[in-house]
Amino acid sequence: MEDQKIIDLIKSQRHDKVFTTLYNYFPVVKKMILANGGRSEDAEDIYQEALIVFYKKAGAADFKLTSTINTYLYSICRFMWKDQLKKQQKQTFTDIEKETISESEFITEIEAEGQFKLAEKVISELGERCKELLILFYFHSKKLKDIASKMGYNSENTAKNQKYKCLEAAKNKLKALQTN
Amino acid sequence: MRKELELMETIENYLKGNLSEADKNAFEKRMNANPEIKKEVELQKQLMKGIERTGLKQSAKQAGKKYKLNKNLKNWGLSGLTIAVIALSSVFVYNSVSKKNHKENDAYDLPSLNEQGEKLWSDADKYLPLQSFELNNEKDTVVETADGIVFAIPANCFLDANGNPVKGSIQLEVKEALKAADIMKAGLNTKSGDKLLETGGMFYLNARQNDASLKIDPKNSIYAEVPTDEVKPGMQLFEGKRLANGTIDWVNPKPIQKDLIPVDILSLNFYPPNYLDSLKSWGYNNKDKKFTDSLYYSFASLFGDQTYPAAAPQQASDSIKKDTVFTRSLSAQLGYYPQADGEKIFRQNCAVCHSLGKDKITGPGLEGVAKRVPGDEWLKKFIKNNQALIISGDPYTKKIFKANGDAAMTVFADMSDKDLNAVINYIKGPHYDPDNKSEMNGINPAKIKTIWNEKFQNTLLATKEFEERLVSIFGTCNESVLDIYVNNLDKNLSALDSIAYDVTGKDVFKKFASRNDGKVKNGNKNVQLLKKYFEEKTKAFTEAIAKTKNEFWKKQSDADAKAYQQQQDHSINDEKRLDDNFQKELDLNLDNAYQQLGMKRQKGGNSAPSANPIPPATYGVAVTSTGWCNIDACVLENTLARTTIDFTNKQTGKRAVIKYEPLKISVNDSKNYDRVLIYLLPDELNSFMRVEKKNENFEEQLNELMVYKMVCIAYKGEESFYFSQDNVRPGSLNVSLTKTTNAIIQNNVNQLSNHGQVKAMNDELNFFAFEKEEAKRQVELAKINELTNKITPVILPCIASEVTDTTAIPAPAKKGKK
Repeated sequence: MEDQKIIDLIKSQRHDKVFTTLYNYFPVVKKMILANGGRSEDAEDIYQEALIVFYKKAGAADFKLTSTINTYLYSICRFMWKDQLKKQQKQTFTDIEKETISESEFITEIEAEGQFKLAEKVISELGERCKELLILFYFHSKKLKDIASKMGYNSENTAKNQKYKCLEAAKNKLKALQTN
Repeated sequence: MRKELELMETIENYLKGNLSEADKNAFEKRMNANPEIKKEVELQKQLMKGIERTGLKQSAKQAGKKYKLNKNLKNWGLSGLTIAVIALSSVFVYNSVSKKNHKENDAYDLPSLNEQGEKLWSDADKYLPLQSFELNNEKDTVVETADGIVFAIPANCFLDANGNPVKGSIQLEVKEALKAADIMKAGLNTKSGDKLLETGGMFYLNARQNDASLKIDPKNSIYAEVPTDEVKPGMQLFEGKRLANGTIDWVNPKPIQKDLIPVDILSLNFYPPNYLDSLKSWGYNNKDKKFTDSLYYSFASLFGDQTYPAAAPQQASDSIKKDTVFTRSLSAQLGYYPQADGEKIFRQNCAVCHSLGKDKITGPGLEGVAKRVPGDEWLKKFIKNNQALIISGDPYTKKIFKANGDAAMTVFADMSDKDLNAVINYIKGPHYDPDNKSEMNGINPAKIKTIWNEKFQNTLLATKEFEERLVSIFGTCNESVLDIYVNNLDKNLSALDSIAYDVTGKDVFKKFASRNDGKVKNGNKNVQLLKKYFEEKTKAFTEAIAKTKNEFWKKQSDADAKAYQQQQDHSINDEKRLDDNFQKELDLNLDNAYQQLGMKRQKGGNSAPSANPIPPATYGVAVTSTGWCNIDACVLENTLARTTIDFTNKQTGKRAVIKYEPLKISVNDSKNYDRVLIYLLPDELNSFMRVEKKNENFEEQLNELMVYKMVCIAYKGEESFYFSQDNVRPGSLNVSLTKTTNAIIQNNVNQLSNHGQVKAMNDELNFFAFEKEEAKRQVELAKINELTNKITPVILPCIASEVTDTTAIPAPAKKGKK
């Protein structure tokens, strides 16, 4: 698929399609990470994170593609993996390929995403039903009515109430984590 | 709605920009004035981002899964199809084709380019009639040719040059040569290189849209069935390569898929390997599907939200631990021993010094202990008496002592074999660690429950072939391998085998893959629905089973607590009864002794013994001489020891004698009863005396001042036995019990003249009735625990063997190595 088409898909928030398509660039990233002391799970984690970073960045109104998406993803992954190795003080990155786009282009996105990891952790540790409910409503923008019938709530109102209760639980957890 | 929730709603609308200008300004004002609200807004903002990230992560993970699946399927789909022949690659002499015949045939018009986009055509292309079919690429289609080849063509199977599915109508061109005559007419040979093939038929397949040749999506291959009178083993699919001389060379043989024949899914065995056999060998009825199902599926709770067994039984045993010594002596006194329960025993005796993990407390951690020591028998000996083992010079014991700074372990000489077995079983595990839930290693039985169901009738799961794979799937302990099969019911079984091989690296799946098992012909098409059903139902089953199991253990924990309470109450009552009885008897004796001495006793006054009714322990042994002593002390001591009082007042020469004489009661066939209880009901007391068993007989010292009624109650299973005798005299008494009912015993007890005794005896009867039920419950529980412990390694072999040994002390050197 052409890069511009993918960008269009991102703008229309077709994340599933976008991710499925972009996964085709995964092998080269995997190779790079495996060559630098990572395992294939590390490669997948990094790649998925990079997909999110790119998705967010490309979704911005002012985004302009200055190189191929493949290069973008590769650079993001390379940067993040380097960073992770540095943090673990494991080994230095044996850099075969040169930096193709400047890291400053996406460093803000990576850092911004990093800030929300705590909130993500809180959400992902909620009960399955709470998590499902919140994601359906806020992420997939499903109607409460549909959510109620899908998840077996008696009424739209129950679902709505439940949604706020779940959110409250998450909020309290997040609060506790942040004050610690 | 609550205030907090309302605030949240407002914040949400604010963040989403749903507020009107006025509301927005008002809220911002409120927010800026109140840092609390500001904080809430910030938190909620972060949560929204967190939710978005979680959603995106899910989506990215999903994409990763799809990617892997496709990658694997690509290796298995049919890549570009040209003319094909089904042939046996052994030497078979086929009549050489006579070229003469060609001339008699009319050649057909051919398009300018073949399916490869080349101009090369073979004789066969020219001399076989073309059958053309029009079909819609967006729909599943089945095509049957003139000679009966059936092509099952899935929707979107044809791709354009860019690899995108073609929309709308396409032309499918087929040429076939199944009969020898057709083959010869077409000038087709059956050679692969210089090898001759036996043919089962040849066909040509091409699809076009507006004259452009289309490709077949390798992930979405066409299924072809070529009719034959006889199925010969080893037939393969060859691709035809056109040669410049007009002939075709047959290349790239591929094995032919085999269709799966579905059977009744309920007739298959989806249990883990050895499950039914193990149950049978332990004497359970493995034909009772209800029992085998519920036992197996109950293990799904390990995969769900659960508190068992980390919390529930622990609570119960904690409450018992509070006063272990007391409970034990009480149990011993009542002849009641709690059923062997490994966990209880462990907590009461071992947990102070040993952890079940790797950590050392006082003694070493016990993880993997059963594997590192010389054996269970050794372990038993060591637990019973490690001192004896070290003295005996056992080499392994020496090692342990050395490794643990020569610290000895407590000796448990009187632990029964049953208890030893129970505690060793418990130590061996498995021990469920609730923090580790996500890493449960094994197949969730709820998944099996979900698929072993009529819903999956007529899918590849309902085949003998899958049943065979399932054994190996269990062997991987990896749920995702099962998921590969269940979530891809529309794929060929062999393709799934090869994915399973990729995921697990286990050769057995490679072997399965090489069998080329295909799919169920005309199988259930609702693959997506079934996939969803699988996911949802598994979750629902897991939750329901976990809930049931939690409820069960909660109930057991409550019952444990109740039993503990009852036993405690009973022993408190016992002590109170003993005190009261003693006080009454002492009073009686004192009155009588004073009378004999011609003295008047001042009651309730300053008389020391009666003011201080609980005798200090120091009095216990003092009186065997008949020397001068204070009459009160003398009576007290003798009453306490239940020995004859013989007191002479040296001043008056008067003498007081109260005789205590022994009664020996023997019960006929007492060994035949589960429990024999003997009570003496003295006319002077408000309660009963329970007679202690000494050696074989029940013995008590009778006070000559009292008239005793004796009652004997015995239990055996569900049966009750009774015997009573009024006015029991010292000496020997032989009891022959008569079978009766609890109601009659109750009735007899109620007819006693003394109300205190009626009440006391009723309490006693109730307690033992309760205790009998409790014992039954303990037996049941022990059975469940035993079975669970035994069957766990069969159902979840990887958890059971997970206890690996990293801190192990090296095993003793083998003989001869010295």
